[in-house]
Formats: sequence, structure tokens, C-alpha cells
Amino acid sequence: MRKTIIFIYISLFCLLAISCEKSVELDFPKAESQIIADGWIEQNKYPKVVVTRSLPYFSEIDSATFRDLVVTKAKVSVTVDNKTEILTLHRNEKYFPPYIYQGFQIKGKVGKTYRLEVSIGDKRLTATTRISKPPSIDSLWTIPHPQLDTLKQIMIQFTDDPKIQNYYRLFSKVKGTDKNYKPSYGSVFADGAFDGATTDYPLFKGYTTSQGKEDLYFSSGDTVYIKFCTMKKESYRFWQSFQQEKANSLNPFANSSQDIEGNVTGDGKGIWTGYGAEYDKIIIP
Amino acid sequence: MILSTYRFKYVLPSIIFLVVSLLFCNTIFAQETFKLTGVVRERGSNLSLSKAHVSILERNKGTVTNPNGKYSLILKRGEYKITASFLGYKSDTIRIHLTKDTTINFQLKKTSIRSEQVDVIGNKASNIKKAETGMIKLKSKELKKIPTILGEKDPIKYMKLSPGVQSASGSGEGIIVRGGKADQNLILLDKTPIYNPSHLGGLFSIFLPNTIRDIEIHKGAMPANYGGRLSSVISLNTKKGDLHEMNYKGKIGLLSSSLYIDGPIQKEKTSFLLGARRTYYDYLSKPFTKSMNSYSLMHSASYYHFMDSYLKIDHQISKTDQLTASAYFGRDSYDFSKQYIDLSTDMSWGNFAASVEWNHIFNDNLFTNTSLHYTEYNFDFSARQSIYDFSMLTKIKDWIYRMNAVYLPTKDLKLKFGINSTFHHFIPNKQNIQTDDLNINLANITNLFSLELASFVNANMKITNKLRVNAGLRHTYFLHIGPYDELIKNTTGMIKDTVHYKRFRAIHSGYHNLEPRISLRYMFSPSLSLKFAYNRGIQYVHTLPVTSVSLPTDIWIPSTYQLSPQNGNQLSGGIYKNFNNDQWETKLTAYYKTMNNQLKFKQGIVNPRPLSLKERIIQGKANSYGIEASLKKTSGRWTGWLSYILSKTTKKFDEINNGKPFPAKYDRRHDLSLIGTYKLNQRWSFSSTFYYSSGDRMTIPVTRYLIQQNVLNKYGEINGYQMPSYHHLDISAVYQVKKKNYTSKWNFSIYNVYNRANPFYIYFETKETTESYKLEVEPKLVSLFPILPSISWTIKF
Repeated sequence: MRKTIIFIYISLFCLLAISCEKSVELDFPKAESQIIADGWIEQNKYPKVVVTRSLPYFSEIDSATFRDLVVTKAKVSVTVDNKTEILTLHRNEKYFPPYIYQGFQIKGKVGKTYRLEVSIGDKRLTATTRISKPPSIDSLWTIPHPQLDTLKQIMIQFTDDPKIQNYYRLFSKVKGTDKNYKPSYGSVFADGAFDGATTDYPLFKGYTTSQGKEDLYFSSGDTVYIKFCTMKKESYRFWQSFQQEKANSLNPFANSSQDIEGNVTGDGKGIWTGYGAEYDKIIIP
Repeated sequence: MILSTYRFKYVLPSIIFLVVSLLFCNTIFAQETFKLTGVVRERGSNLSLSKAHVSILERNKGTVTNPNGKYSLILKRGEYKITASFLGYKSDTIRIHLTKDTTINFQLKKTSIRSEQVDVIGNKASNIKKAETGMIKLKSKELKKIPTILGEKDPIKYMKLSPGVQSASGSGEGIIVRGGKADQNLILLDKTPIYNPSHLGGLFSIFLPNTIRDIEIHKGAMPANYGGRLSSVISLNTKKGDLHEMNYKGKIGLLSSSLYIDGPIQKEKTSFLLGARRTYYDYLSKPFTKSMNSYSLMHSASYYHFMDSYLKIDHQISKTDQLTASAYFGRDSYDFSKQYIDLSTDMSWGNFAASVEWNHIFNDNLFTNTSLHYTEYNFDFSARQSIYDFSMLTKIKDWIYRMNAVYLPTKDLKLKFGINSTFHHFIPNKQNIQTDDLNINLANITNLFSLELASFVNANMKITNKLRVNAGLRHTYFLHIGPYDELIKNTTGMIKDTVHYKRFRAIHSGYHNLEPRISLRYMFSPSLSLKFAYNRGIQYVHTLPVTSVSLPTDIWIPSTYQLSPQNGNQLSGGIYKNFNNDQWETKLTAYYKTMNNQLKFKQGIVNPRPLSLKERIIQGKANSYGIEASLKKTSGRWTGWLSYILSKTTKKFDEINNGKPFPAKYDRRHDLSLIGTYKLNQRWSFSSTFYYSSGDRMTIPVTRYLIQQNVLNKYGEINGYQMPSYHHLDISAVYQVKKKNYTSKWNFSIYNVYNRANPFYIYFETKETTESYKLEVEPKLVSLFPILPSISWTIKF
């Protein structure tokens, strides 16, 4: 009997000793703030660049913090064929934070290489990109949701150029709802699996938040503008990783611990993308 | 033609070796032997005793009496001390000088010992005497003492609580031995390799507890008959069916039920053993899930079950020949569907293993074991969304031939030698995407074939009364063979040409390696010894984790002409001391281990063109060192152990962390386990296990930045963050009733008594509101198994 009591006592002791648990507290190493440049240029359009700073991971963020992240005193320039234009800062409510550096002289041309330079004080970031030949959309149609016939998914048919390796990105914008073109999940892809073939590719609704809370399907009656782009390999790698990271941040099984490497070099990080863009429109039946 | 000419130079030694070994046999036939026979009876009543042990302790030889109490032994001329023993009877020893065929009968006296005090220790002080370090063996009697958790006495779960052995992902999927990855353990069921030994995230192992006779694990210098993995060998041997009468055992539990039947097919000659188990959570949850579906479009349904089945047939051809055939089949199945987005997925994975084994006794000094094995593991995943079908398959098939011999030239020398050959067929990753009119075959690695040959010799020698040596040498040869398509690329990475290798054509000259191993034991006294061991190991098959936690989706791949095999070296040593007439066993050991050519998928690799394995994988180094201490009580009402490990494991890849070393995911500084079993009386017994380990390591984000209104993370040091520690306490009680015709057992257990939320993984949930641009980050700790009470009822008749 005495031994039984010892047994119970030991078990209880283990229980009590361990059950007072501290809540999870993560001790983060201090990280320095970095300059981030996110810019793009497409044929027949002026270049646009957003310059921000990075934040410690666990700092509280609201719209005020976001606004403070914008770097408004940067010198941003774009160079093509020895011609340089200094971009000017504009307030643009279509974007958030609503400040964007924009050019008004240099317009994108297919096949040209553009150099971006951002400098703030003694810090300097540079990147180059080229605008590749835009794709052509053969046709657009919709497929209904299997259960709910008011919801639709768009199908896009195009022919891949077999001579070169092609990298694509798809955006959509619903009239009256979206301010900007939004990329959808799976919207960054390459011709690895269908080199040179006429291909049908699905287009789901775009999302801007990492949660992807918005529905994946379009609704009957929506007017959907489609932007279908080609880009260079460096940009593809960045946007592919970006897309993966967005998906992975929701999937803890995935190896989501990889920094996304863009083409911006120097005292910061970022991406400078040249798009060859094709536009189209479909009204969801 | 399997072998091109240059390969013969490696196969030839193996053949010569085999021929020489067989020549050995002839010389042994010539030795003079005699037959010792007799009957074991109860003193007074003269009743013959069936299943009594007749043994020669100093020779480690023995037999069991048949139902008529008869026994028979073949022995060489010489002096012997013959002991007859039977549970509940006083043993009797007779000294004889054997010069001709002799009959010795025993009469054993009944004793009045209470059975709970009879603790049969298989091999007294074997921990002190054995030359091997880091070896643990549990026999069926000890297996019976394993705590019953969730209705099962799981031998693998128990092994994971022994010093130097840890669970991967805390929960148990995968086994980590001395800092080695989960794929570095060779798990054998009846000598057939099993590629995935777990069900349900490691909560159960695939092995049916009532079919297991014994289990042994070698963490240090494993004997030369084992090879092919760097860290350990875990070998499970199954029971034989009863040759005389039928036995039935059934278990009904909350999670699963099982059934075991064994008995004779032909009395005293052929027996069978059948076991089967299935969980039925899927059946229980189905009606509930269906009713939910009709109300909610958003509802998702998931069903999980697993099953195992095992069959073994033993046939005694003659006194010297025995044939055994066995087969295992097990499967996990998980279905998940989300109606709203029209997504349904099916996952199914499992092992199939079969073997045929022939044991032949040439004489008292030479035994051979020849066997053929087949093992298969596959993981099938299919998903359907809208018009798209996605499927993924990973599969391994191994055909194995083994010939092992044991030769005992003198009483102080035991030689083991033999050959092994394995034909591997791997389908690491076959993916397919299909729509109604388009079939996209994604760039993937399909079939890989290879041949693995090994020959070995191992000697276990007593040099002096104090010094024992166990030394072995293993030669292995591995060849990547066709069919195979080698992609020839130009400088820009575009495929220029494909070279096709035909079936069985060698693609390269192969890898051949020597794997020496030695362990020494010096005995200061019968209760104190010092041991030292060194071994080198080579591993030709590997897993590539697809995910950041160990899951059944891990892809197995073999070495190829481009991927060199893993190799490792380990030094270990320790001091072993027993107290109180071997009732208490203690040991303190230390190890240092290096591992080369460790594999890792290149992270963040994005390339739409087909890539060769070499382009997808990076190879690096790992090393681990540590101290293990344990205290074990082997007999009495109270039994159990306490073990502790202090260790450190680091990895180094040129491509990661600028080539600097970083902590391994399973770099757990402290690891402690405590097991206690208490037998109160004939009816009640209690047991408890407690496990603690430092948390796993992970890479965490340190800063965030904005790209196109999306928040992205920048990550900190690789595996720089340590997750909270992992611990749980399990308790169980068994109530047993023995009646004339049957034995009934009730088992009550609670897994994770204090409901600790143990970290399986941590992720950061980001809540964003587009309108207000408010962003919150919440670290989410996901744990797998909360408090799990369980009741099961077992009946045996």
C-alpha cells in the first residue's frame, strides 16, 4: 500500500511540476530597417516605383504605421538608351500607402532595357529589367462552379512562343469593385509544361491580402478586365516565390523560411519588373 | 545483362567468399556429435512437462520439451552441465561427460513461489557482458511489461523512450537516433526493411504488438550483418504460431480493435500466426459529417483510418531445416473534401512486406539462414478541383536476397558471414495534372533503378576472461542502372539531348565502400565494464523532406551516378555498472558522430524546365555529439528506467548560411524519459511514462516589408529559434482476470495526462484588413495530441 501511495505521489508531482507553463514568448534578434523598392514598367506606360522601409516582424502595424513606411525623400531615376528621367512623388489613392514615384517622359518599349536607381542619403539601390514581347490572348470563356451556377471561373486560351522560354503573369480587375489589377493565385507560370502549345489556363479572382479571403470565383454580371503579361526570368523567379510565399504563409507544412530574392542590388531589397502586357475584357454571363 | 564486365570484379569477391564459406561447412561435417535425449517430468505425479527449458548455460544452447515432455539435443563430445527448468518448479542441473548417444531424464519439484515474484531475466547482466555498445534488446517477457497506452503495447514507442533514441516532430513520426535523420534508421520486420514504420503521426507504429517476439536496436557499432543506414538498426522478430493448440486473442478499444489467432496447421510441424487491426474513427464520424454537410456549404469533411494485417507460417521440414513465410500489409487512408471550392483529396499510404526464410542447421557449430524478401512502400495523393485532376505518387520496391551463416569454431569465437543483394526500384515523385482535354506531365523524377550488393564477416571473440571484441567488416557496392534518361543540357540550361540507358545497363562504375566496425568490452568485475566502439557506415537510400515536418510524404530516393551516398563515422564509449545483484543497471556513454553527403532540397528553387536530381539537391555535412545516462530497475514489483541525453547536432551546407554551420532541426539539448511499471497484485498493474525534450529548431521571420500591398517576410538565422519544449505524461492501469478457459484484461490509459499543447509546428497567422490596413501577427502553436483517455478490453482463450 505504501508503495502505491509513492506511485501516485510521484505521478502527481510530475503533473504539478510541469503544468505551470509559460506562454510562448519569442525572443527576436533586433533587425535593421532596410529600403525596399517595388517598381514596374510596361510597354506604352510610364514607370512606377514604390519606396518603403522594412519593419521589425512583431511591431504593431496599422494604416498610420504603413504611411510612415513610405520613403518620400528618395531620388528615384529610370534610364534607357543613355536618357535618364527623375521620377516624382505623387499621391495616388489607388495604391496603399498612397505615394508612388512616377515618370512622365520615358514610356516603356518592347525589347528595351531599363535601369532603376534609388538613392537616399548615402544608400543606393539599382536594378535593370527588359520589356519582353507581350503575349496574345486567343479567346476567353467561363466555366460555371459545379454547385453554384452564378459563380464562374475564367478560362484563357493563348499560344506559347516555342522559340524561347516564356514567363507569364495574369491579373484581373472587376469593374466597379477593384481599383487596381490584382494577381490571382497561380497567376505566375512558365511554359515548362506546354512549350509551344495552344494552352487553356484558368483565371481565378485576384486577391491582395495574404489571407485570400475573397472568393475565388467571379459572379454573373461582373465585367472583368484582364491583363496578361510576359516578363524576364529574374522577375518570374521573384513573383513565383512571392506567390509561393503567400500560399506557404498559410501552410505551415511548407518550407516557408526562404527570403525572396529580387533583382534589386545594393543597400536594400526589392523588384523592378518589365512587363509586356496584353489587355482584354469579358462580361461574366 | 545486369552486370557489365568491370562490375564483375566487385561481384566476384562475394561469390568467392560464398564458395569458401560453403567449403568450410564440409570440414565441419566431419566433427563427431552425439544425441542427448530425455523426458522432463513433475516429481511425485510423474506428469510430463511440456515447454520446459533444457539448456546448457555455458554454451548458450538449449531447447524446449514437446507436449510429451521429451527433448533432444545434438552435442559434440565433451563435459556439459545440463539444466532443466520450468516456471513454478525448482530447476535441476546434471553434469555429464558425453561420449555416446545418452538419455538423461529430469524430475522437477513444484515450488510455492508467488508468480509475481518470478522475474525471468533473459540474460543476466548481459548489459555488462556484451561487447556491443548502444544495443538494447527487449524479449517478449520484457515486452509484456511495456505500458499500455491507447490500448496498445507499442514496442517502437517504448524504444523511443530509451537513451539516445528520440521521436522526430515530438509526436513520433520518425525516429531520431543520436542526431541522425529519421531516414538513417534501418527498420526490419522479420529482416525485411520497412520504409515507413508509423501510423497517425507516430501515435501508433505499424507493428502489431502481439505478433512481436523480440526487438533489438543497435545505435553504435552495429554487427556487420546489418548495414545500409548510418544511425541505427531496429530489428523486430515475430513470434511463431503455437504448434500444439489454437489460441485466440481479441481486443476491442475506443480507437481500434484487433484480432490474433495462432495454432497448428499440422501438429508439431506446421503452425500459423495471424494478426489484424483496424481503427474506426472514420465510421464513427461519417454520420455526423454527413448531417453537417447538408446544412453548410462551407463545411469540410475528413476521414482517417489505418489497418494492419500480418500472417506467418512456420514449417519444420526436418530436425535441421525450417521454412518460414510471412507477409505484412498495412495502409493509412485520409480523405478530405471542401465542398465550397469543389475540392476533394484522397491520400493513402502504406507498406507491404513479404519474406520466405529457410533455416538450416548443419551441425552444432554451423547454421545458415537464406531468405528472399520483398518490400514496398507507396504514398498516393490525388486531388480534384473543378475540371482539374492532380495526382502524385511516390513508391519504393525492393527485392532482397540474403544468405547469412553463423559458425562457432570454438566456444570463445562466433563468426557470422554472408551476402546480401538488393534490387531497388524507386518512383520518387510522379506528378500528373489533367484537365478534360489537356494532360500536363510536370517535370518530375520518375523511375530510378539500382543494385546494392554487400558481403560481410563479423567475429565476436572472447580474448581473455575480461576482454571481448566484436569486430566486423562489410563491403558494399552500389550501382545506378537503367532504364534511365540522362538529360544533356547546353550552357543556358536548355535540354540539348537525351541519352537513353537500357534496362539493367550500368550508368556509372558504381560506388564501393568498406565499412569497418569494432567494439571492445573490458570487464573489471561481473558488475562493472567499460566499452568502446567505432564504426563507419554508408547509406545509399535517402529521404528528401518535402515539408518542414516529418510526414509520410517524404520522398525516398536512391543514390545515383550524380548523387553520392551518405557516409558516417561514429565513436562511442561508456561505462556500465550493475548494483544489487543486477537488479539495478546503470550506464554512462558518450558518442561523437560525423555524417557526410547529407541531402537537402534546394529551397525556393523555381525553374520550369526539367531539372536533374543533382540540380534540385544540395549535399552537406552534419555532426552530433552527446552524453547519455541511464538508470534501470530490471526486477521486482517496481521496474522501469530513467534516461537522460545531453547532445548537440549541427549541419553545414556550402549553399546555406554562407557555408557556416547551423543547428539541425532536431538539435535538442536535453532529452529525458522516465518509465515506471508497478505490479500491485495478480489483478492490477500500473504504469506511467514521462518524456521531456528541448524544442525543435526553426527559422523565423525577423522583419517584414511591403511589395504591391502585400506584406512579405525577411527571415532570421537558419534554425535560430528554438520552439517550446516537448513533454507529456502518460498513465495506464491494467486489470486482469484469469479464469480456467480464458484471460480477460481491461486497460485504462490516459495519454498526455495534463493536456500539454506540445509544439508540432509554429506558424504566424497574419490578419490583415485591406480597408483599414491594420495588420496583426499572431504566432500559432499547433499541437497534435491533446489528452487522450482510452479503454480497451482484451480476451484470450
